[in-house]
Amino acid sequence: DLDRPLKPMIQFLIQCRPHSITMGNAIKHVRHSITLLPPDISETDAKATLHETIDAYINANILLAQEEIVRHASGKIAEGDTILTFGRASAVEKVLLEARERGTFYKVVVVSCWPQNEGQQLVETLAAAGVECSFIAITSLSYMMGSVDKVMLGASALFSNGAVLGRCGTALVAMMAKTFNKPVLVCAETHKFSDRVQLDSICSNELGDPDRLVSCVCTPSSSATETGATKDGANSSCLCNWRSTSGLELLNLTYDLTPPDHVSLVVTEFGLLPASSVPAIIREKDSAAA
Amino acid sequence: STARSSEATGRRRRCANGAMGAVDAFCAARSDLAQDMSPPVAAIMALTAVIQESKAGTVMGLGDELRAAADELGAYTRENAGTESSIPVQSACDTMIKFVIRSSSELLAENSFDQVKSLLIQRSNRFADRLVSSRDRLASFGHKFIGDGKTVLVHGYSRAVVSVLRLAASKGRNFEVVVTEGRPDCSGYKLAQKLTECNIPAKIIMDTAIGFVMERVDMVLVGAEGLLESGGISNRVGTFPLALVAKAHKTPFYVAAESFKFTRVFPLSQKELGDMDVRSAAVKNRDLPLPDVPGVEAVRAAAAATDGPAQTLTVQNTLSDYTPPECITLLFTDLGVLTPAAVSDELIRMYQ
Repeated sequence: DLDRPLKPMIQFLIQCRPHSITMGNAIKHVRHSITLLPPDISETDAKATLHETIDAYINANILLAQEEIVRHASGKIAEGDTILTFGRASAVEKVLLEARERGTFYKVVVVSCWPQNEGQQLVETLAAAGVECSFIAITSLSYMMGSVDKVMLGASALFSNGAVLGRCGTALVAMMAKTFNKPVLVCAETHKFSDRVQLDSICSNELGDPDRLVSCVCTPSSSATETGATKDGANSSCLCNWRSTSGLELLNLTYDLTPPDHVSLVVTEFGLLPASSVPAIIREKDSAAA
Repeated sequence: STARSSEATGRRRRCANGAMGAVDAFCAARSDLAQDMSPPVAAIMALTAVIQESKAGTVMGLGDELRAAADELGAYTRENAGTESSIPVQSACDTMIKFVIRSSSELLAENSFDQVKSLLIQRSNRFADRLVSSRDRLASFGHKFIGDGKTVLVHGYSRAVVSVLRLAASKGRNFEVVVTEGRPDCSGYKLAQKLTECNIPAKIIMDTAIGFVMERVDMVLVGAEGLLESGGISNRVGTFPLALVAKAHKTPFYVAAESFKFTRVFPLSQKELGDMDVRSAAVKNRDLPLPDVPGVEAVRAAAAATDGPAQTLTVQNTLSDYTPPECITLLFTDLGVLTPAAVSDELIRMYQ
């Protein structure tokens, strides 16, 4: 009856951070291993077994899976390629660094991801590793996309219809790549796969902190010290006091949904797959676990 | 055609010089013209012969011998197959080795290794039989799509396509086949001859006339050198533009290929497929045969000039191109009629 005391703990985790697909898969795995424990096992043995199961899950599905993805995806970076990426996906960062290690010469265009601004960290890491990179705002996408060879994106989750849940802005990048006929590679470990289907970005999403949207114009010292502040001052105070302004809502969406036909290829630890093969992978994993 | 027959005799001559066991068995299977065995099936027969003669005492040892034999066969087909792709031979060998290793592990639980070997030979023979009959099974699934009174456009010389058309004709259906010439080796003429032998009306057209005829064609049928992980295919050059024209006309585009042609390759561009092609450099860089027409002297002069500035007049020969899954309607395989998305599903099932 370990399952019963687990429920309030899981509730607590969900309160810390809204329930995500990967969280759900991990929790499901732990609860499933609890049901698999033989009824006559001692408490210490049970705890040890569960610890092992959890460590094995982390090792296989998260750590080693990422290494396998790096192995498969870094082979897709050809000599002289220009790769475009959005924000900072840890899998993509590792792939790019691995390709640099192998000695392939390539360039990277990093698209800034607002308001988290993780792209900046990626640029710093790549520049330190000696990779030639550019940093652009998402508004310059149509200008840069023509000179790019491949687009590499990360994902938070993949749905059964092949749709990709990613950081808000991912769908725009994928859509622009499709318009310019550039291949889109999504790097995702299989523990991110869900048997749910989602058709648009709104039906299930997470709200981020709305104040972060106005943080560039609403720093505590903004009003007096900034140059050209008089005109901006009037605007920024309106945004700074957005809560008291009636009819004004700020919406900071965390994720968006990329439809499956904008994805050329998904890189998982099992290899390279088309987006339509997500249910096949889920089926294989379920039958392996059963 | 004279080039091809001298290649074939060259092949037989090399076999007679006593190459290794696998290659001998391969040549023997291939020279049985009555069976018209495709190279991959002959490769499976060769690997079965390797198991028969093997002195290995463990599954690992047997696996190593088979892998070495598969490498020899791969190298041999690359050097001697001419313009035929070696992907089917490699895929067939990979599938066979996987099958052998999986079967051995299962059988070893109950049997001694010698018993396992004889059981393996039985199973391999059944596997080879299944492969030999795969073309017929493919035809039994695909022939229903060739309706009475239809016009079918065909590109490239594929035994699988011929078997589909032959079976459809034998069921009493009347249809016409439009065949592309297939320059520079003009394999379309060989295909047209095969169709005539089955009393199927055939019309040969220029490769460049596919756009012109597409409005009068009810469906397109091609074979494949490789069924790729993306759901697309690699096939004789000219398949991709044909698929695009068919798509623009909303004409169904069908592919007839045996399941052993499945390959875990996922190209993102035509260039990537070209880079992945493991045919020998001699074959890939083989020059396009130059026609005897006005202007060809400039090309010959440019080719002959060894020093001087980089040439601005070059000729490029291409063997295969990549057709992405969006352009393919259905695939006729011995496993059934599949959508392009199902190809990857099958591969996942086979390789898990």
